[in-house]
Amino acid sequence: MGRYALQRLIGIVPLLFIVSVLVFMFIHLIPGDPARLIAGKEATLEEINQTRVLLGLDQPLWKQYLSYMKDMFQGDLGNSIRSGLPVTEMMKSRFLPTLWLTLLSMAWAVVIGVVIGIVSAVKRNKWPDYAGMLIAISGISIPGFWLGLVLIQIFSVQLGWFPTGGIDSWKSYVLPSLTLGAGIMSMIARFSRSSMLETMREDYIRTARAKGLMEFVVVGRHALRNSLIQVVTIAGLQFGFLLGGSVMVETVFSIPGLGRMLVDSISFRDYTVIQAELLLFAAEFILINLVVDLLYGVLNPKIRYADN
Amino acid sequence: MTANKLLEVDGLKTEFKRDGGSITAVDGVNFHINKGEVLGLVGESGCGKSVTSLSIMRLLKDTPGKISGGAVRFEGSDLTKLKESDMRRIRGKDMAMIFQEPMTSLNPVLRIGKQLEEPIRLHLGYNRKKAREHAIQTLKLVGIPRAEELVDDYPHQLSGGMRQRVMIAMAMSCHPKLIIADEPTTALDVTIQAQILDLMRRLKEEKDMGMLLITHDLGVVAEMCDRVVVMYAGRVVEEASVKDLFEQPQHPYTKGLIRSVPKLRQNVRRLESISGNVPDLSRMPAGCKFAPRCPFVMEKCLSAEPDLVAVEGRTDRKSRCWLTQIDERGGETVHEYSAD
Amino acid sequence: MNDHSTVMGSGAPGGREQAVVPDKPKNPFGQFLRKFSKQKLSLIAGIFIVMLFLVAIFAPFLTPYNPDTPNYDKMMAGPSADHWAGTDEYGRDILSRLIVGARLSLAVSLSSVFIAAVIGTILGLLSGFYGKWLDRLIMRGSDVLFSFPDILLAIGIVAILGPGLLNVVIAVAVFGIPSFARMIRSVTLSVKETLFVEAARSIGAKDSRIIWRHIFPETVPSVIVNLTMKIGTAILAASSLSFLGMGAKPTEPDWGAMLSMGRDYLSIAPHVVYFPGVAIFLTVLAFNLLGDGLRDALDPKMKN
Repeated sequence: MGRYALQRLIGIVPLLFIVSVLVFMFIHLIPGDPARLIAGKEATLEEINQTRVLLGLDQPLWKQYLSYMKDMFQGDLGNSIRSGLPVTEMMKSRFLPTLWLTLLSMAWAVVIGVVIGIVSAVKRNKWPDYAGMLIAISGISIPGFWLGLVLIQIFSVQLGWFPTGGIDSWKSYVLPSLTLGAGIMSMIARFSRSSMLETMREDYIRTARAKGLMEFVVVGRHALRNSLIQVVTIAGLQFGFLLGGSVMVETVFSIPGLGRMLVDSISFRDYTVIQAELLLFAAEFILINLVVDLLYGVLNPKIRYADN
Repeated sequence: MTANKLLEVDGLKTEFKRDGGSITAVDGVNFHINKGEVLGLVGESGCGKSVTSLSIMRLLKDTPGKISGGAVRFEGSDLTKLKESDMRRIRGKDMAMIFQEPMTSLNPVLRIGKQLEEPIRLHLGYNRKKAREHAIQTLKLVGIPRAEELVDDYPHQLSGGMRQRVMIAMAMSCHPKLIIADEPTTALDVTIQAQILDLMRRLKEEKDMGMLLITHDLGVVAEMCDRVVVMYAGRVVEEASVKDLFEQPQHPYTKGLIRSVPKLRQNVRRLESISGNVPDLSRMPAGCKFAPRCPFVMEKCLSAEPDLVAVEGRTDRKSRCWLTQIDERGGETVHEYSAD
Repeated sequence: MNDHSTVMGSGAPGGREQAVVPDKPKNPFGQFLRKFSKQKLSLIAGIFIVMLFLVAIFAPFLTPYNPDTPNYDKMMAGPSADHWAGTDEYGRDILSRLIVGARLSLAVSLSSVFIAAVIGTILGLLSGFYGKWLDRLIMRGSDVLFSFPDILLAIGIVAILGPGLLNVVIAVAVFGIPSFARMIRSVTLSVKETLFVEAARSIGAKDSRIIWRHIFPETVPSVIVNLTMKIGTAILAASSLSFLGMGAKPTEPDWGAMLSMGRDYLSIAPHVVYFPGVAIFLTVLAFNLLGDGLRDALDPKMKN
């Protein structure tokens, strides 16, 4: 396990490096002079030149990258073009709502998705399977932002059960996490179904049945544990999907999170904020994948005991 | 005689649904196993021997297969008519199974001990501690050293031979009356094969169990079995004691099988094989199913399928071939086929 | 040893031999049709998509009203006999806008997925066939693309290129490339080991010929299945971008843009939001169902 974990850790270093370069290059890829972009439209030539020197944009690219990385490790991702506030500070206050939203969505999506997947697999080609898979394929096909609007229309406008937006209480998170989790739930349901079906064909399932075990023990103890190893992997990979989806959902439900901040910063062309957000999302995504890999190692005895 | 029968398979028929149609993988199979007896079930892969064993255990769930006729009487009661819950009480308790693939037949994410304890707790009603002791005892019985430590291992930490010993221990743990072993040594190295066969023979004698040994390896049959049933294309084509089978095989298919076994100390330049393949079950020949591959094929074989009938009036000796039946009636003698 | 073995080896005389020789594989297209038509839902989805294409092609002849002409007497009217899907905040007929919008949605999603498929397939073929540094380069490249959640990658690209449907096409195409590249690479790797590629090599066929004539045809089923599946994703991504104001202009009859505009009137005129959403949902659902059906019929191994 130790070696496995180390390999994974080392494996992401080059990836993080490339991503950081790409994100760093982002501001230089935008057509036009970055100094002019940052200084703003009304800036005079002198102001633009001042900005250029101030931000080191007159330096060679590799020097700029080094100082960008140095600042980043000290927690400095530059200041917002729009408000002048430090980006790191802005992101700190936006972090929690997004974290809650994604965790809540993931939690219900995994539980319900796995349940649907198991039921569908066990009742293969019977009506619970058809119903489950119809729900799942609908969940994948439904536009998240529209689902959010429909939920608002029904449960907030018509029934008044939940607020239409904001983050005032736990109630505020119900509809957004339902919206955000729907797609993941569906993918997990489809995946756990096929993973279960595959597992149910394994020889050791036949062994378990030959012992005279009850079917629910065969499914619950022997099949489920093996499929869950794969489901965890897939669920983790879908976290990126959640991060992307949070942009939509936070916009629909007016949640002051990171996703909403990204949309706002794009409409105000606040490039330093966009840059920081992209970096954060990509890093988060890579780290989540790392955690998933490690979790996979913990769950799979073959890897867990590889060193002994 | 009937009182002595442990298992009686009577006209068993198992069909598989495929693409709308269905094919009959096991078609009217008859045989029985007496108490304390080892019956060999022999045939090429695809002849229906594994399906027969799964049908006996009623383990066809999650396959497209279904028992569509006949009876499987175990100690007198018809297993095909039992409720699933009653069947579960027999599986792993009175009737246990050893599978071909020790590498994949154990659950990779559960410890050996846990997997062994399952049937013990279920069928013998032991608590966790007692079940664990019993599991360790059984592992020692099958010749596993350091059984106390091994129960905490995962399957991937064991060699193939060790895993098969674990599988045998698992089958033995609840003192079954019948063990069904489906190609138990095929996946193992030759040296390990001999060890496992020795072990199975020793256990069988100690515990006085009946055994259905499914194999394509006539060497294993010669070493282990009391009687043999030869299957071809879902049917029994010959039944005989081991001695009779090797000395006087009746069915041309059996003869072919025996001739394709390499023999030491005989100056054989090339190994013989039976030409052709097992027929596709969905497109069976009309008459005798072996006719397309049979070196003695006659007109009659193509149009009508022979029955499985007693040879020379002996109840323990049956063959499904027109040749032996014509012989019976004193008809033309077929040029005898001297087995080297 | 006598000559018995030759007796056995010679096998049975002519006519009977047939009984044991398996059938030749049936016409593959017929087989595909037979398998596919068994999946009723996918069949219905396929018909729906064909109809959608017809609607998109003949859109100008099908719209009951001019999709851009406002009617200030009938703003945000609910569904009625005159306006089956009601009218929007400018009194424009929603059904007509949806019909014209089908063109935009299909054009954007098809072109982006097609671009992704072409580039991804070429990269996958090269990566799988040549291996070594080229393979490492291409696969690390797709790792990097994969390390951005796709919609975020698209947002990033649009942020660089600026809003607009053309840029949406580029953005959606870029995030579709790695999935094609990876899939085609793995097919290429397995085909490369097969006999007929070895044979072609041994008679000195050129690389380009081997790739084009021998390997590419083997990848086609996977490409078709992935293409169908990705169209749904592309429609969702494009409409999401339009919804966020990064795609179609608010004035364009794009389904996502219509939703974005209608959102403000959710509490008073929900139909303004419902119909475009249903249009997106059904279209994406149809492509996903079709993709599932094609996968099961063309390539059972690809399940999962």
